[in-house]
Amino acid sequence: MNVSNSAAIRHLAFRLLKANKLRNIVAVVAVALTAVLFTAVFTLGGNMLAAIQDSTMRQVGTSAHAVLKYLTQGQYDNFANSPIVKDISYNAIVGIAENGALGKTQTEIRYSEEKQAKWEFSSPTAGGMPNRATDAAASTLTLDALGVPHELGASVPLEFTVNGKKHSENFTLCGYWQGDPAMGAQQVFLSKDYVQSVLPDFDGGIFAEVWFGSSIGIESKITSLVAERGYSAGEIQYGVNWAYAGGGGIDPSMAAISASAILLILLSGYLAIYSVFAISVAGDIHFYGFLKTIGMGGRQLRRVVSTQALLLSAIGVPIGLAFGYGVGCVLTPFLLEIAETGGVSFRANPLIFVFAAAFTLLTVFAGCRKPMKIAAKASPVEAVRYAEPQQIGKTKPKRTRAVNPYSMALANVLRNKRKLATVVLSLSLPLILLNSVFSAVKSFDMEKYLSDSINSDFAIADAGITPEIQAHLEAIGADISNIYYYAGTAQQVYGVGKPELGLFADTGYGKLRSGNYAIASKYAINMDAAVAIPQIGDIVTLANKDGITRDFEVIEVVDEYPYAISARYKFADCLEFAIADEVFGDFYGRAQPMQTNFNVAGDEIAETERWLENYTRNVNPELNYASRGKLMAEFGGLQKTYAAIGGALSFILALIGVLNFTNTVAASIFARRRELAILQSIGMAGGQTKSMLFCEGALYAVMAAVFTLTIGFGIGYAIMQAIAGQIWFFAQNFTLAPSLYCVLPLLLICAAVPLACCRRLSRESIVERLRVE
Amino acid sequence: MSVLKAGNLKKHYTGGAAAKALDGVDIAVGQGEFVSVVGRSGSGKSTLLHILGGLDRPTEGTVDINGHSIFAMKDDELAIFRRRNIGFVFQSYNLVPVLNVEENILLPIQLDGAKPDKAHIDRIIDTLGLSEKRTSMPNQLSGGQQQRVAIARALAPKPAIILADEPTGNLDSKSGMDVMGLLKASGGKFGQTIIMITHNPEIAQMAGRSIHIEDGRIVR
Repeated sequence: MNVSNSAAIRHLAFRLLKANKLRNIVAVVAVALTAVLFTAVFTLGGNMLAAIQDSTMRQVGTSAHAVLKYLTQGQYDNFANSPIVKDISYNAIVGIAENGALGKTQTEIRYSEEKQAKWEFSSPTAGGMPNRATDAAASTLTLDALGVPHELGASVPLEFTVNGKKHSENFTLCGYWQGDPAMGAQQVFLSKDYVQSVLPDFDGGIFAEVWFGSSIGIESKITSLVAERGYSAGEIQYGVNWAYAGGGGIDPSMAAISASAILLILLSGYLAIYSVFAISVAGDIHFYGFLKTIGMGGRQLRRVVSTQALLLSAIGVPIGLAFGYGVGCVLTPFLLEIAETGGVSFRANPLIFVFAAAFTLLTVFAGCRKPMKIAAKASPVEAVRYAEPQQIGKTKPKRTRAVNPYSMALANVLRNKRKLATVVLSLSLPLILLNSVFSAVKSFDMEKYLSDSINSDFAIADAGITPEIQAHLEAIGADISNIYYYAGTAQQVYGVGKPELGLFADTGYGKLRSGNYAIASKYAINMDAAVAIPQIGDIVTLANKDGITRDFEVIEVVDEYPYAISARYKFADCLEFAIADEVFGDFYGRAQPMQTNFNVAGDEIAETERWLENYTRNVNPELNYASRGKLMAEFGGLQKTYAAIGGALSFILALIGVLNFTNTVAASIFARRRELAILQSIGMAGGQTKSMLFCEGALYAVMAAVFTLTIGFGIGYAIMQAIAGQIWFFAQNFTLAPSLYCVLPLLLICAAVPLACCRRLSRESIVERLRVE
Repeated sequence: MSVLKAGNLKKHYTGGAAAKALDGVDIAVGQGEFVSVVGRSGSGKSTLLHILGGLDRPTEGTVDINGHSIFAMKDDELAIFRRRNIGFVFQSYNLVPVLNVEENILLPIQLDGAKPDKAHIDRIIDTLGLSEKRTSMPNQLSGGQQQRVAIARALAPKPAIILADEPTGNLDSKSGMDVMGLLKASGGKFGQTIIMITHNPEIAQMAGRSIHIEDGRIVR
């Protein structure tokens, strides 16, 4: 039979809330701390995901879901009419800018619709898109390379070849935007009129970018789009934006770390909330029993408890969301710095709050399930006799042992094993996390980090060596070596000298200098398995910018060309080769080196660092340099970041743990105040009572420490394995030191709480406590 | 010779519920005597027992046990004195739930760091019919059995005096009479002085002497 009793139940729940003020505070704090952790983790994770996705989109060059390549105008119009397509826009490529000044800044010349320019992060922020035949809009990086000032109306000289015919024209700058060095190529946009004059009807060179209703299953959507518009497979070329694929670059170990973090918070929150409500229901059990005697059903009693949980969550969750968002805001910039995504601003996604609130409520209701069951099962007769459960299962006879305050403390701690497990686990979780985080930080290998990032005392990239620097280096007798670089079609070629060659190859410099040989790398971003990795003995044909080719025999295949002396970016479906610097100069021309490495005498390092620091700050601010010193500082920063994020999360977990411990122990001592009075009445002295309670608290700490150092060790080790797959400069170095350092404070807290309770209890006389029912 | 001597005991409560729980009580109990204190609810008998046992301090007056003035002692001294000289039996048994029967009985001796007199303990356990229950836990015992353990615990350290507060109050009448029989018999056997509070006239009659208390004063 359905009856309308919500008002009565709400009223009861309110009354119970009013009667349990201290419990409410503890519960609200537990709920809020859980919400803080969820919000912080989701803020960090959400921003990380968004940043990775954003950075992948910039690498890909567009935010659209997919691109249809080499379309005619008719084909484009056909696709644009499809009901599957939510939005579509196009550009047409004219060619690659061939100005000598753009040797290092690959620049594509296109006509683009304004909409698509926006999708490609290349929309003018000053001026606008080209309208007149003489207009050009360009990225500031292209303008800088051409030496064109960032002024509308400035002249932009461009050289390019269309269908074998070379064009060399001056355009007028009608718009520009901040170029992003992370993007594979920079753009110059010309007007539709001009492009059609050199490339009638775009000559089947239309690139159409497509948005679907959602980013799920883009690959199958584009296949069905092509079929739906009546084209056979292979007739239309297309590409899918991999920023939307499989979580946007989140790899399995990262996902495992995130899932573990969420589980850890769930567990920690669950333990605290379970304890609070279990203790509270045990305290109110007589009242629940009484409610049953007057006709309340089990389901109604459950609702009395769940309504209280909901009301307390209504206070705790918003507080937690606000604080958690703050913590997330503080920590996100550190994390983004590690992720090297750069340039992505912080954002507050409402989904973060929705998920954090949902997970917190899930934790609250998981924690309340058992207490709700206990309340629902309260028997009107039994409830009157209910005291804190002594032990789980049946009580068995026990062998007689000598009794003293310490053995009694042990017996008291073991009295309720579920409670013991809850508190020990709650105290152990932050220790395990802390241990894992600091082990991970300790495992960061500085040598590995440095050797992959720099192989000399100093390095100056991007043709940055100026005559002043050259003169200074010569004056101090620096040992200089240069690395040259050329990016051709599907080829990245490095010209290396003797010292750099020794870093990654076994082949002698002399052999390479003969000009017949090249070293290939196995590493390639193989998008469609289109690239065949060369084998030793293969003949590869390299082409320079004038289209002249030269054959080289592959003498050695290395795993990867070293990052420290590379261009720091790789193109998809592109192979890497290294040839001797002299051969490079003969074939590709005597260009400025891509990077100049130099070593100086030990006592000159600090002075050189200061000189470069001053030079790059005051004389030539455009120039950047890398040095071992700077990288070591960067490495220290990285360690600090991991420690800060892990430490902050551990600290909040520790707060939950200590809150749970304090609440459980205080409630237990308070519930036993009559028992303690009896012990005192039969002769337990105040000192003995204190020893017993101190020992009880210390036992929780010792058990938490033992758990952390045994089972926690295993868990921590597993977390380390997951992190090891994530970070390349990792040399496993598992330590238990953080846990050991925490044992003493933990012991102090665990001993202080019972003693404080004891002091509080002693305000009541033995007789008063003996009267407690 | 008196084992226990109390003079002009007063216990006045001030504040909201101001009351005179004891108002000048004088009492003397001799070695081996079994005295019952009878009175209605709120007459002051529990307050008297708590003060005689040193659990509560009087507003005025003295209590001497075996010649020691107990309120001249500090709290910890008093706790030690209590475990050596006073045994308590409460209405609700008050056994320590984590200790078995034998451990509960030995507790006051072991808290004192003393070695139990094994023969004495065995005799107490036999007398109270607990031989089969030595290793049982309190929640495995009936109410009557639990109260017998409480009596055994009170007897174990050979105290100067046993104070029993309604020892049969939670028991059915048969168990109540059994427990009283055992309390009296073991008191006699071990030469124990016993002061017992009760409001049951039938139980009170089992004592050698009865003191009646009303409004904080002894009336006969």
